[in-house]
Amino acid sequence: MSTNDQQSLESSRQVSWRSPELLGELILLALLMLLMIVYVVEISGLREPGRWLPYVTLSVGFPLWFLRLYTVLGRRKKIAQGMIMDLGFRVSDDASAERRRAARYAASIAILFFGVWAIGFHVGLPLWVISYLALYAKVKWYYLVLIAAAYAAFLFGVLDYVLDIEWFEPLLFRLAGIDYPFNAWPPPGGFA
Amino acid sequence: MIGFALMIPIALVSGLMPGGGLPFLIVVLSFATKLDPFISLPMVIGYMAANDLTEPIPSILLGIPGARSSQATILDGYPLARRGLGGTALGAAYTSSLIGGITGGIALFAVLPFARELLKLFGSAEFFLLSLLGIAAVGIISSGAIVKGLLVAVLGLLIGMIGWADVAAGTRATFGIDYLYDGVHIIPVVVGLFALPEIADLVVSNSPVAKERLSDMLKHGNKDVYDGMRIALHHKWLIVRSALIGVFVGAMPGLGPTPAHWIAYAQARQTEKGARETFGTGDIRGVIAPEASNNATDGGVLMPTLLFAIPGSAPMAIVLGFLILVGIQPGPQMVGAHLDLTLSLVYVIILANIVVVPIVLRFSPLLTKVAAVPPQILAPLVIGVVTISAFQANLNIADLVVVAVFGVLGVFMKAYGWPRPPILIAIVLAGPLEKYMTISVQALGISMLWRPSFLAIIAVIGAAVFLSLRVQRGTQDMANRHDAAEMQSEPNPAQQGTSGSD
Repeated sequence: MSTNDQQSLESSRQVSWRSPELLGELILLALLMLLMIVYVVEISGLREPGRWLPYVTLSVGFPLWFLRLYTVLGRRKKIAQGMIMDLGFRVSDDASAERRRAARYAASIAILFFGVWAIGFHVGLPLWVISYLALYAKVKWYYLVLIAAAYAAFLFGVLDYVLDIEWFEPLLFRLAGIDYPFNAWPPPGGFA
Repeated sequence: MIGFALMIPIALVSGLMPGGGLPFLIVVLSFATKLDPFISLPMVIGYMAANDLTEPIPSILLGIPGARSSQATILDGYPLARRGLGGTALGAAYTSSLIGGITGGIALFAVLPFARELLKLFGSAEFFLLSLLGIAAVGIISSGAIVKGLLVAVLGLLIGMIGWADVAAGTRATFGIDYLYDGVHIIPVVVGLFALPEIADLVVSNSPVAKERLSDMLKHGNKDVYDGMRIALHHKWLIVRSALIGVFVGAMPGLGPTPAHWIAYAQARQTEKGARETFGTGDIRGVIAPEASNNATDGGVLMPTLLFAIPGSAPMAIVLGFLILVGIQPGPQMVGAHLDLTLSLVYVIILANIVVVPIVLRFSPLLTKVAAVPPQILAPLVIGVVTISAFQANLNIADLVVVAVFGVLGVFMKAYGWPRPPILIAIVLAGPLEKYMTISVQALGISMLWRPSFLAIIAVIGAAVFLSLRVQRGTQDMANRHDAAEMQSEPNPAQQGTSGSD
């Protein structure tokens, strides 16, 4: 089959209503419509020049939104055109292994963000990195120590000492009524 | 110079990781916002130029593109490596990259006097139109699908308008959330939209690489690399032709290095003696042409980005956001008050190539081993650093929520062919666009529509979009033919283990 034949077949394909592509697109369109409605509601309360760009954007956005919805509901999905600035995802024949790895990736990111929010960057981040490496990459313990030390050095050396970042109060510290200790590091006036 | 020197090892290592260039660029940018633009901007451009030089290594030795702009290099580079001539292919790639990169820098320098005269004719009305059409043009070109691309641009503008607006004397679409009063910060958006999906690709595809094969591919070490350099210099006119293609295509808004390197490959196949029979089987000229073109685009893509605020590629969209973040408005200032900064970028592009090529030549075997580090080890290290980057840009834990939201959006868009650069460009340009719009409407009213320069911009951008779409269609056909041919040939050993162990 020639490339052109393949493309014409792809462009006329029907997509299942339960496909993640279709559901994802409907959710994206719903969120976009919600945002546009918010602007429509708020626009009358804005001073004159502040309305102009929302007007221009909405006047382009609404017709395009309905056009896209018509395409999606008709399930006349075009081939994933161009992606000229993008590679897309590399896929193999083993879809179940890929799904497993994707789920693990999403879960690990969620754990990282929750961990950082709950116990802060100084403990949460190195702990997450070495846990991931130990559990999934089976990295030897002495490498883990080195990597944890490198992260600690980065957090204390660059972010605390050089940039002197003001950290947020992590959840557990707030609940325990303890000030986040790393906001007091380095001590005022330095180490002299 | 110190910043530039610090960037080199980071750029070299990140260029080796398939898909690693963009996440590391985001990390570099997020920390560079803390520095003086005269230090940070050359650092960033130096990073990008140096990064390009190691991208051929995974393409040639592993058969995995380090970036989309080194896909064509695989066609002949990988067969050469399988014959034990990986070193020769690398030597030829470095040499053509060096000459291509320098050509791009010189081309940018040569364009500056003309751009200066052109930009003197532009006022607020023209910059308003340029910003608006720039967003639309990148939306259309970057996806190849008009409705999808423009919808993404609309979404980007709506997000970019969130928060306090001086012209409105109030806030817009904050949903009563305090965090949104200052608008959506660009760094967490970039981390979510670009970095997390790229790392997801790395982790989910999990392509293990057999290290023992690498030593077979670099049988004679540096001797082969020097042979490759000699062969490349023998094809100097091919390099010059390909580099000029890279500059020209790179300068067109929204195209960037991907079409450029495919076009350079195609012209070499058409014009070089006997190439039609030998290209795709391990012809060194099939490595030289795309690599020369790829590096030459570094100078080309900076032209629309710096002079007209229309990014030439996805990384340039991120650089444009960074420029505005550090208070530099692309446009006439880049050839006026900030001319010294623009000139420093020209020097950096040339210098990066001159400095980095000897390093990669000397340390090729060592660098190759870095490319073989498993993704499961790289991923947590990179995720850790990008998470800190996202947070330290705004010092607010809610930034991680923004990362998560845009991460989900980015994965969806990457998976189903929705272009990501327009959303970023629209967020970045929403502020300047509104400013120019307010000034020009208040000063000129409806009459701005009939200004000759206004109409000229519409004609030029319309022609550029038309030409870009034509080029894109040709490029896509070429890539499709390559994919179809690859499916019919034997499987790539580097990717056989894709579905292997977790």
